[in-house]
Parts: sequence; C-alpha cells; structure tokens
Amino acid sequence: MLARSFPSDGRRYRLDVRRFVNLRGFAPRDERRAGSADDRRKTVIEQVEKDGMAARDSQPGPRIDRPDVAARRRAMALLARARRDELGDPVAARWPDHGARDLKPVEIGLVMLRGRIGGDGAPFNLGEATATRAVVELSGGERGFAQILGRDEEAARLAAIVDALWQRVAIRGDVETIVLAPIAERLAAEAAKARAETAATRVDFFTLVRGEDAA
Amino acid sequence: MSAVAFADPTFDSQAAFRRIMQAMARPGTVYVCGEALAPPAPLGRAAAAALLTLADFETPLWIAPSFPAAVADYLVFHTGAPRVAASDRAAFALVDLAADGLDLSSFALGTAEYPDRSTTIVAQAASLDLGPRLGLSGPGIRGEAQLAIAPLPAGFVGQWAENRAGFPLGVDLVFAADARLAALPRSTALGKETR
Repeated sequence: MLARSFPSDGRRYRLDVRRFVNLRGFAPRDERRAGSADDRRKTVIEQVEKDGMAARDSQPGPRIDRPDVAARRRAMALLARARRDELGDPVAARWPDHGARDLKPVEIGLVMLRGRIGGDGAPFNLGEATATRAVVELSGGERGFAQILGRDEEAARLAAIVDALWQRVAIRGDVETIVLAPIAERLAAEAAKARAETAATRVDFFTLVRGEDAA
Repeated sequence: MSAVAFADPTFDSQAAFRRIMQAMARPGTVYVCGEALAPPAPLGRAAAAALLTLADFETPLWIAPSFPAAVADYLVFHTGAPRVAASDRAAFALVDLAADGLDLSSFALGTAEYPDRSTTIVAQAASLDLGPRLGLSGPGIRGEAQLAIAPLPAGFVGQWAENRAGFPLGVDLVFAADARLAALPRSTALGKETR
C-alpha cells in the first residue's frame, strides 16, 4: 500500500514496505515534552512486530493476479492515501451503524522503505517511515485492514472500516462512488499538478556546432 | 465474531513474558498469567498468553488436532506464526493433556550445535495441583519443589527421564491451567510420583 513511485525527477523509485516495528512506548517529540513524569519514565521499547502479514511483505512474493484481488488492492491503496475527512465524513453520513470494533489495537510503528532505482535496480534501504495500521471487524463479520503513513490513528481505523465496508458486495458500488472516487480524483489532480510544475523546470541539452568544426 | 487478544500488545506481552521467564527460572512455581484474556474455548487464558507472547512469524507453531479451527485462527491471526503439520519442526507446540496425551519424543529436541532449536510445549492441563504429586529438583529450586499436574500423561515420569538423559538437548514444558502456569525446563529432574 505504501509502494510508490516518484515521477518528479524522471526516475522511478519503487518502494517496498519492510517489517513493521511497533512504536508503543515512544511518543512524538512534542507529546513527549508535554507528557507526565510517568510517561517519561516509561521504558523505551522497540518490539519487532509479530504480524506475519508485514513479514511476508518483505519478500516480493508472487503477485496474485485475480480481478477481485486487484480491485481490493486498488481500493486499499486509495484508502491508504486518503485524508481523514475524506473517510470520516462519508462514513458518518452514510454508514454510521457500521458497528466496527478493533480486532487489534491500532498500532503506530515504523516501516523500512526499500528503494530500487529505476524500479528494477538493486534494493537498498531508503529510510524508515512512521506508519499506523488498524484491523477492524464489522458486525457482519467483514474484516478490514489498513496501513497508512503517519500517526493518525483515527484515519487508519476509518480506512480499515471503509475496507471492510467495501467487502460488502451490496454496497461496494456506493463505497466506490462516494468514498473512493473523490480520493482518486484528488490524487490524480495532485499528480498532474506536480508533473506540470516539474515540466516547467525542464531543461533540454543539445550540442551546438563546435568551434573546431567551424575552423 | 473473532476474539481480541492483548488490549495493549506491547506492555501486556512484556508482563506475560516476565512471568513465563520467572516460571522457567523457578520450575514448579505457579504464576498467574493472561488473566484479562478471553481466548476461544477450549484454549485456556495462560496457554493463550504464553503463545501470544512467545510465538511470532519466525517460530513455527504446531497445534494438536484436538483444538478446533477457531483456536488455530486466533493464534495465527494474532501472532502471525506459521503453522506446521510436523510436530518435530515446531518451535512451539500446543497440546491438551486430556484430549491429546503427550509424547515428548514426537517433538524437536534441538541439535548438538543448537540445543535451543527444540520445541517448547505449552501443555494445557485441567489443574496444576490436583494430580499425583511430582517432586522437582535442579537449577532454580531450593531443595525440592512440587507440581501436581492433572491429568498426568501416561508414563510421564519415564518420558521425562528420557528427555533429561539427552541434556543439553530436550524439550521444555509449560503447563497451563486456565490463568495459571508452571514450567518444567529440561534442566529439572523429576522424582517419584507420590500419592
């Protein structure tokens, strides 16, 4: 879900997400300063996350090319990049009785981003990014998963809820048009703007007739 | 509805880890563990706490066939541990003493180079103090400790003597009854059954 390519410099960097490391016990710098003495005394823990899902992500396993898998992958990729209000407003308006509960507490952690220059070069560790993930179950038994960049727990939970709602075939169309389509539109517009801004700074080099040839 | 595991995975599993470690260091002493859990039946709270704490995606898990699919789903979902069909390839195993009995020789004993690559068996018992009394002695025990597993598997004292004979190879046992657990590491010697 976090895999991205950055088109702005003309090269593509393929980013794969490595193992999720739980950040429980860490607080962001501003919260830490404001925290109680108890919070400051908390032992700093780095627990390697135990979820096999994240571990399996580290190997480029076989891609499952079934249409339903591809459709859900696309939906989850959009949800991972949605803003909180893009998820929260439609869910509160249309499906307030989703009855979702957390199967695992929402977790904030780190993921290692691995890059490949050009999309097929040797992999290297680009750096770590903060990520938040959530697993919810609706009253109907649908399980939704989400993993987003950043520390917004509510956004991660909402993304998981929408993923679970998307699995209800009866309302999938509504989820697509009400929630996913506006996100896709905004992302496309942002990408187009970035491309246009980059294109304006483009410099083409070409060689003029050299002096020695003219002599 | 799927069951929830630790409310706070990091700190709750650390608390459980501390108790399991203490239980291993003091064989035969009973510790309370996993009080707050509500695992799917027939999985007990202490057995669930032990596996949720210890198992992860790098530790193959063998679950005795007597446990229903809900138990396996619960453990695999919350730990990410891969299930194995062969018990001698497992890092952790879950057995129910009443339903499955216990055959220590069917588990991994480790190798001479890596004696730690043996199976740690979480054995679910009905009780830790109503069975025949076993005298425990060895490292971590001043004098003699006592444990009274019920139901005690057939020929257990003999099996344990055999397990001890291969030291440093051998399996380690964690007995769990509801929210209580006690450990029997391979370093501990068992005396005669009394009563």
